[in-house]
Amino acid sequence: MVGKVALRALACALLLTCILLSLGTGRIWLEPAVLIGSIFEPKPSLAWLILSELRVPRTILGLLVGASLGLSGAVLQGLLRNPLAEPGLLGVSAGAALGAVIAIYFGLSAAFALATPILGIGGALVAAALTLSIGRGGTLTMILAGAAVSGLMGAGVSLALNFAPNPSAAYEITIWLLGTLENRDWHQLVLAAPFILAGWVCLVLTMRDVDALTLGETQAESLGVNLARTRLLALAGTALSVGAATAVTGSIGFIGLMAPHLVRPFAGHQPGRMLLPSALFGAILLLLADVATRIIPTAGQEVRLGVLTSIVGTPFFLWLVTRLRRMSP
Amino acid sequence: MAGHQAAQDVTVSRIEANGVTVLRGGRAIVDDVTIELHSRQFVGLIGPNGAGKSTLMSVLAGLLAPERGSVMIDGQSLATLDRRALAQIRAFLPQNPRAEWPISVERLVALGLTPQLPVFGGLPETMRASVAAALEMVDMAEHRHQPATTLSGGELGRAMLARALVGDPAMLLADEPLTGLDPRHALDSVDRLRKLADAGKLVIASMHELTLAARYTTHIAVLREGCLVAFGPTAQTLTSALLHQVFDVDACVTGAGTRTAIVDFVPDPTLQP
Repeated sequence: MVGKVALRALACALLLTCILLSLGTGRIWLEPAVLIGSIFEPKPSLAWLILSELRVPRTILGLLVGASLGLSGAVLQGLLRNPLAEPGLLGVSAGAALGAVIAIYFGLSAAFALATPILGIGGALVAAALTLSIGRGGTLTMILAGAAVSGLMGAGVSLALNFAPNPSAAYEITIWLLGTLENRDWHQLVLAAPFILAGWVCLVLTMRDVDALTLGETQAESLGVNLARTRLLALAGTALSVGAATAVTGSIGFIGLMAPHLVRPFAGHQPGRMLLPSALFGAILLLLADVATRIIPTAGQEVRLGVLTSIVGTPFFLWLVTRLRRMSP
Repeated sequence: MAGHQAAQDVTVSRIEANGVTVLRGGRAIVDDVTIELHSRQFVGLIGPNGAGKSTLMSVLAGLLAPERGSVMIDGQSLATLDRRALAQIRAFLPQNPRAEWPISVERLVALGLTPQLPVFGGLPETMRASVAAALEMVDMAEHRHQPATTLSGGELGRAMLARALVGDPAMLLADEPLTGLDPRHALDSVDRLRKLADAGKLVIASMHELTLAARYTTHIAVLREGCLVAFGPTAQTLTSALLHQVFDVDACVTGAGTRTAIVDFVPDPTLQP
């Protein structure tokens, strides 16, 4: 029991450290004392402006996006009973990307800043509806439908790049696809947060069901689990939370795959117990990666968040695959 | 004395199937089956491969809705019974159940309490006691912290039985629970199932081990090509004539319904050199 409490305290301390780092680091470094001063005595100083207009929304968005990726990754791995499942599997991220790309392609985002996230959320919901209507038969059908929808949405993005009206539009689309938390403000946060929170509710409601699925689908059903409802909750929750997150930040890979694996041994491998720790570690990983993009010295632009998570995530993924191969007979 | 007490406490529960028919590709794989089963019965469901045993088990467990006919549990139609309510009345063990993640045996058994649990929160203290009791009953208490994926076949079978029984259901349906067990574990398992029936539960198990069926079951139900060809007390029902009719082999049955019963198959004399 002491070990469990210590682990929880450690995780919370880690998260708090990441939040403080995320608030403090950037082009202008804010001392911890200045940070605390600005929080408790808000006065319109430069530090306070940087915090309230840039760092705080960026940090909150990072928390929400990271937690969404970790939570939905854990739910999907539990639902599909596959340690390689991740939120991108169901076509939701690709749908959000296509929606956002359409907004950039037709110049809507230039006319109206929130067009990109709004169309992105729309794209995620359309993709989820497609996956659900094609793949309502069973879990395997749902994965196949997700792969198909993912491919279709990806083709749409490629089509937009193919027919980009000018090089700068193509550049803008490509840069957006790489994923970043840079220059995200309160408007985008307020737009995405309700969808993200609604998605979390759907995902957390599957807790008992993914536990029961440890026994396989037949036994889970015999224990009163309504699998159609579980699949719907997992898909809707992923579409709402990860869809809205991708719509605001662009695609960010590997966090949804990594976070559940990091917490699995500490949760005794029980899928339901992994949901909240996985959300917590998703947030920690994303904040760390975002802080790293600000610290890594570059000539011009920041390293894009999605690029960094993929660079760090790929070796982890390979390690995971080889470890699984060694474990299985 | 204790057994007598238990017998009085147990309410009689029953499953009634009425004209149950399941179609696959236009073919009836369960064909117009009507049967009524009561608590205190240990029913062995036998029949050749492909006779529809597993399908009938799924229908009786309420996991598969038949195309025609109906199933009632304690007088209530399965079509209207709530999933969670049903899950508290009957437990179902599919063929070769396995654990998908390396969770501890204790937690695996606790999953059997899913229909009793609130939506959130841990396991209440009273339920911990039932988990411990279920583990004790199948002699798995010393394995309770072991990952379920590292258990041997016999141990996993026992852990799964504890999982099924931890919520104290009135009925247990087990699909081929003896398959893959060595003689000692097969004997232990079938004896355990019989004791559950003697303690007042309704136990239905499909099986291919005819000698064990002859020794331990109270009743035998026989399926052939989806049809129920015989149902009755083991001593009267399990006969050489029936086995010849159902399995197309000459069989020798001695002492059906007693603990020394033997079912032996006799080679066709025309095939002898």
